[in-house]
Amino acid sequence: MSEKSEYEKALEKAKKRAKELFEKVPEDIRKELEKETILGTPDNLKDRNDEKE
Amino acid sequence: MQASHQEVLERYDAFRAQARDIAYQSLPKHLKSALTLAGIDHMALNAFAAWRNMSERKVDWDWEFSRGYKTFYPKAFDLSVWEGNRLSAMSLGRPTYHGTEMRLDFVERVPGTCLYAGDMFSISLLAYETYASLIGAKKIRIMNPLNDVLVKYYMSHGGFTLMPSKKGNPRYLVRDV
Repeated sequence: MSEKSEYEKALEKAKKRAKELFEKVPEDIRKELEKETILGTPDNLKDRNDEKE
Repeated sequence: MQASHQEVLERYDAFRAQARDIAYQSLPKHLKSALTLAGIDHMALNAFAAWRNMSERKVDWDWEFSRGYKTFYPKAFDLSVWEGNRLSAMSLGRPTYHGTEMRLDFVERVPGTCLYAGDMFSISLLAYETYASLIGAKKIRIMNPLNDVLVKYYMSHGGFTLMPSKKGNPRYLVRDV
């Protein structure tokens, strides 16, 4: 498959996913998202170098 | 012959640029007209300096770390979100050891007022899922999510499954991409 079609395939998928992520968010969840300033923790970035992660 | 570190960096630079571009192209119109997406470069790190002393900031983590992180993990993905010339959010993650899953390790949005505060995590998630697809990873992980309301929502509406903490690795939400 050519690089261009991979790009187009990914774009099509992202557009569908964007609808789920941005258009169907209940008000209480939107408020929760607005309240939070972090997701995850910086500790996640520590190198574990773990094959079984 | 194994690709050199520099070759891997360059090849994945192209994937990173594509993922940011695709995520941007996919944003709803109102966000597309207000925001831009980029990597975590010197401009982002300069803008980050203004976050350091903001009283609303929940972590004291130094994003300068991302420079070394990207060198250590040449397949890592980094994202900065800008509203005009104001830095709104940054995120960092990398593929798992075998490259089959993409980790979204940490997202931070600007402390205090942010016009599109409720969209920052979703923008990051969209970009990371896109990057995962482009590099051939099959799943996306949100590592160690702390907000249980959001965890329940992502599980019930986002197609995510919560995997428990195991052998020193934190719990994470996972879904197919």
